[in-house]
Amino acid sequence: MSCFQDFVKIWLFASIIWGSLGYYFYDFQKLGVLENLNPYIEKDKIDMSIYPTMGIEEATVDGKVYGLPWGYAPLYMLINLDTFEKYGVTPPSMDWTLDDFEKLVKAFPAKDGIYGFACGTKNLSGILPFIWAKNGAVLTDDKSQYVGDSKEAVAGVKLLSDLYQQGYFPKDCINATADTLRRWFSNGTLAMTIGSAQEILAVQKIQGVRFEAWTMPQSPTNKHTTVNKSNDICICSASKQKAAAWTFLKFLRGKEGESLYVAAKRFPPTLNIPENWDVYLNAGEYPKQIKEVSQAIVKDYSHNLPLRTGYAAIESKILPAFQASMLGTMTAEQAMTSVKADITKIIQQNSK
Amino acid sequence: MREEYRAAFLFLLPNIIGFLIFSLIPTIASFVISFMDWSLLTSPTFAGLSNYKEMIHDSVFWVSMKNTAIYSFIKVPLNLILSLLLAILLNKKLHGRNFFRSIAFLPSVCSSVSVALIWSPLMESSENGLINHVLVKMGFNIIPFLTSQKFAMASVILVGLWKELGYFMVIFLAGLQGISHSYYEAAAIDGASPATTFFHITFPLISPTTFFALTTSLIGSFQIFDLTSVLTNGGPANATNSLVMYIYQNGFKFFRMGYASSLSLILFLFIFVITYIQNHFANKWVVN
Amino acid sequence: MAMAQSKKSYKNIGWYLLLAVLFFFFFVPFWWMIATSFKSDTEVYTKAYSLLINQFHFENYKDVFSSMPFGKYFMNTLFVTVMVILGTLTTSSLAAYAFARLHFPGRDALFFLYLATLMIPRQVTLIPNFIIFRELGLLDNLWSLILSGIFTAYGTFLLRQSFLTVPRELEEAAVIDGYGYWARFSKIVLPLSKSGLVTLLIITMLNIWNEYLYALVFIQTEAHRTLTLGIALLRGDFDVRWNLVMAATLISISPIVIVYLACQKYFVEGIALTGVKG
Repeated sequence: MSCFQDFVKIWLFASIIWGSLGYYFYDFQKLGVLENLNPYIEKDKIDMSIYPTMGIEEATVDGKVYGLPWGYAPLYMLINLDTFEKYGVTPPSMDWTLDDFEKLVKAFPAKDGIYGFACGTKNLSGILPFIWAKNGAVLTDDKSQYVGDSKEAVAGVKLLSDLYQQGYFPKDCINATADTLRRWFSNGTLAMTIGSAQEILAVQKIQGVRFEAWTMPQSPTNKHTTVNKSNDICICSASKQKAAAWTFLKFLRGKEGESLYVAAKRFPPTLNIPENWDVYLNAGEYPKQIKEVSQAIVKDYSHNLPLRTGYAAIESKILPAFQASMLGTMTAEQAMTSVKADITKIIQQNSK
Repeated sequence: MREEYRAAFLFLLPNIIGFLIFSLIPTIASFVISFMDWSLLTSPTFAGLSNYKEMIHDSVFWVSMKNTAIYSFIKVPLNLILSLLLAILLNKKLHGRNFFRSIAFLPSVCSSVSVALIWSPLMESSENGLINHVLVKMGFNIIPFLTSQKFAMASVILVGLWKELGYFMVIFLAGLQGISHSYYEAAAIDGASPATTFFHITFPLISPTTFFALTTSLIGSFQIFDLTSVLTNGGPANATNSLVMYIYQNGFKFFRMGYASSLSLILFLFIFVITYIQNHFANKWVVN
Repeated sequence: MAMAQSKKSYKNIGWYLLLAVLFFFFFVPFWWMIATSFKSDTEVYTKAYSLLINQFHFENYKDVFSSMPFGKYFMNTLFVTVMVILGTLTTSSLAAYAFARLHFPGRDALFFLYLATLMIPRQVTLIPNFIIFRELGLLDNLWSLILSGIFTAYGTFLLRQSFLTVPRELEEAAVIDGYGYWARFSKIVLPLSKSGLVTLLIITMLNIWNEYLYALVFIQTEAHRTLTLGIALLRGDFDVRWNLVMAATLISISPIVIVYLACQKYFVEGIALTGVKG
C-alpha cells in the first residue's frame, strides 16, 4: 500500500519533491516521471564511491542516474538461536546449501507445531532465492524473457512445494503476512524466516529474542542467492522546486544524512561508510554478527531482483501459480509453465 | 398535473444537483476512461476497444468474475433468509431482545478490514486458530479455512455473513415494524397458522423492504473487495480473487486505469442486467 | 390455561437457547478483539490467539491517544459524519418522496439512473471524483469527503422503499382535507417513516465513519485526517501493534454503538394507524 500512497502523491501533487520507489522504479522511469540526476551530480561533483555499485546500477537507465539508493540492504535469513538450541539443531554456516536447508527444516518437530521455515507467498523475493539456489531464474539476465519454466527454476519451486505438502511448513504460511511470520518467529514456533531490516527492527523490540541475520542457502556452484534490494530516492520531473529538492536529496543520501539515519537506528548502514556500523551496532544486542554477514553478502552472496517495467504484474501472475503448486493442485512444472504466455504478453506490452 | 411536475422538480432539486456532479458525472467519466490507456501519471491516450478485446482472453478476469458470482449468489440468499428469520425472532416479545439485537448488529459496525483482521487468526489452519482448536477438541480434523482452494470462498462467505446478518436484520426489523398489529390480530382470529401468516401477511407487507435488501445486497456483494483482500489477498491461487480486487490491482498496482475502467464497465453491465431482471420480476411479488 | 402457559414457556426456552448460540457466534470474535486490546506488547506475540485476559493493560488505550492526535481524528470523523447525515437525510428524503409518490415524465428512468450509479465500484469513481474536487479546490479538505458522501443514491433508494410502505389511503385522506404536497410529505409520510429514517441514519453513519479509500486519497495532512486513516497508520509497514490497533478500533466503533442504542426505541413496534377512516 505504501507505494500506492507514493504514487498517488506524485500524481496528485506535481510539486512533490521526492518519492521512494522500490519495485516501481522502472515503471516510473519509463513514464517519464523521474528527473535525470546526472547534471546535478556533475555540477556538485558528488562522490559516487560511497554508494554501493549495484545500488547505483539499479538506479541507472541508459547511462542516466535517476535516483540515489536508500536502504540498499539484504533480505536476510533470520535464525532464532533459542529455537535452534532448544531442539538441538546446529545453526548453518554462511555457505550452506539447499540440501543443508532441507535437512535443517526437517530437523524440527513439525508435528508439535514447531517449524523450521515458513515460505511466504506475498512476494517473489521470498521465492527467488530458492530458484537461484537451483541455478535457475525467473527472467533472463537482460530481463526480456521469462525462463521460470526451465528445469532448474521448476526444481526450486518443487522443493518448496514438497516441503509444504509434507507438512514441514505451517499450513498458514500460504496466507501469512510479514507480521504473522514475525509473530511465529518471535514466539519460538518458527526457527527461520526471511527478513529485511524492518523485520530486524521489529524483532529487536520484543524482549528476549536471540537471533542472527544470515545468508540464504546456496547451490554448490552459485553462491549469489541472497536478495540485495534497493529503494531509490528520486526527484519528480514535474516538480517546480527541483533545486530545493536536489539540495535535500544531496543531504539525505550524503554522508551526513546517512549517518544521522543510522544513528537513529532505523536501518543497518547501506552506504560505503565503515564508521556507520559502529554507530548502528548496540554492543551485545542481537543480531550480533550482522556487520560481518552484511559485508560478506555484498561481496559474495548478493543477487539483485529482476526488476523491470511491469514487475508488479509479472509477480501477480507467478504468485497464484506458485500457491497452486504449494497446494498440489498443479505440479511445479505445470504451474511455472502456465504463466509463460501471460508474462510474455506483459513483457511485450511494457517494452513498447 | 403541471403542479405535480413542479412539485417533483422542487423536491428533487437539492439532491439531483449533487447527484449529477458527484455521482453521475464520475460514473460517466469512468466509462469514457475505459476506452483509453491511462497510467494516471501521464496523459491518457485513446485506445478504442483494445481494453475490451484484451479482457476476453484474460483468464484472471474470468476467474475473478466466476468467484464474484459464486460469492454473490450464495451469500445473498443466505444472508436475506437468515437476516429475516433473525428479525422475526427478535421481533417476538422475548426478554433482552434489545440486547440481542445490539449484539447481532455489532459486527456490521466495524469496517470490513477490521472484521477480516479479527477473523484471520480465528480461522488459522492449525490448533492456534480458535475454530480449529474447538474442532480438534471435539475430535474433528482441522479445516483449512483460508489455506485451501476448496474452503477459501466458503470461509469468506462465512465472514461476510457474520458481518452483515445484523445489518440486514435491522433493515428487516424496520420493515416489520411497519406492519400494523391489526393484520396479525385478524389472522389469529381466523385461525391462521404461523406459516400462512408469514406468507400471506408478513412477506407481502415487507416486500418493498425485501426488494431494497435484495437489490443493495446483490449490488454490494458483487463489489466484494476489502474482505477478500485482507483475509486471503485473493488467494490461494486466485480462489477468492474478486472482480473489484482485480480492478483495483489494475488501476493502482499495474498503472492501467483504462483497463481497470473497462473491467468495471463489464461489472456494471453485469450488475445492471441482474438488477433489471430483479426489478422486472418485482411486480410479481412486491406490493406497493 | 396452566397447560397453555407452560407450553409457551417450554417453546420460549427453545428460543432462548437459540439466542444463546447466536450470542456466541456474534460475540466471540469481538471478545478476541477486546482481549487483544488489553494484551501487553509481548503477549501480542506469545499469546496472540488467547481469549483470556491476564492483566488489564489499560495503558494501551492511553497509548492510542499519545501515539497520534487521536482526538483530532475523532473530531474530524465526527464532523464529516454529522454533515453527511444531515445532508443525506434532508436531500434524500425530498428526492425519495418525489420518486415514491409523485408522477412526472421520466420518473422511472431517472430512478433507474440513480440505481445505476450504485453499480459502479467506488474504487473506480474515485479518480474522476478526485479530479472534480481538485478543480473545486477542495482537496485535503473535509468537505470533499462530505460532498462525496451525501450524494450517493443509496439514501434515496432506501427512503423511497420506506415511503412506499406508507399506506396510500392516509395521503388520499389528507388530500381531501386540503393538504398540499409539502404538508403530505412533512406531516404524514415522514413521521410514519421513522424506522426508515433511523435506519438510513445508522447505515450512513456506518459507511462514512468507516470510509477509508476516499479519505486516503483526498486527505493529505495530519490536521484533516480521519479515524480510519489514523488506525491504518498504527498498522505500519513493519511494526504492527495489534493491541493498540484493537484498542483504537474499539474506541472508534463506540460512537456508532451508542447511536444505535439510542435509536433503538424507534424500532419499537406499533406504528399507530390513527386516522384511517373506515
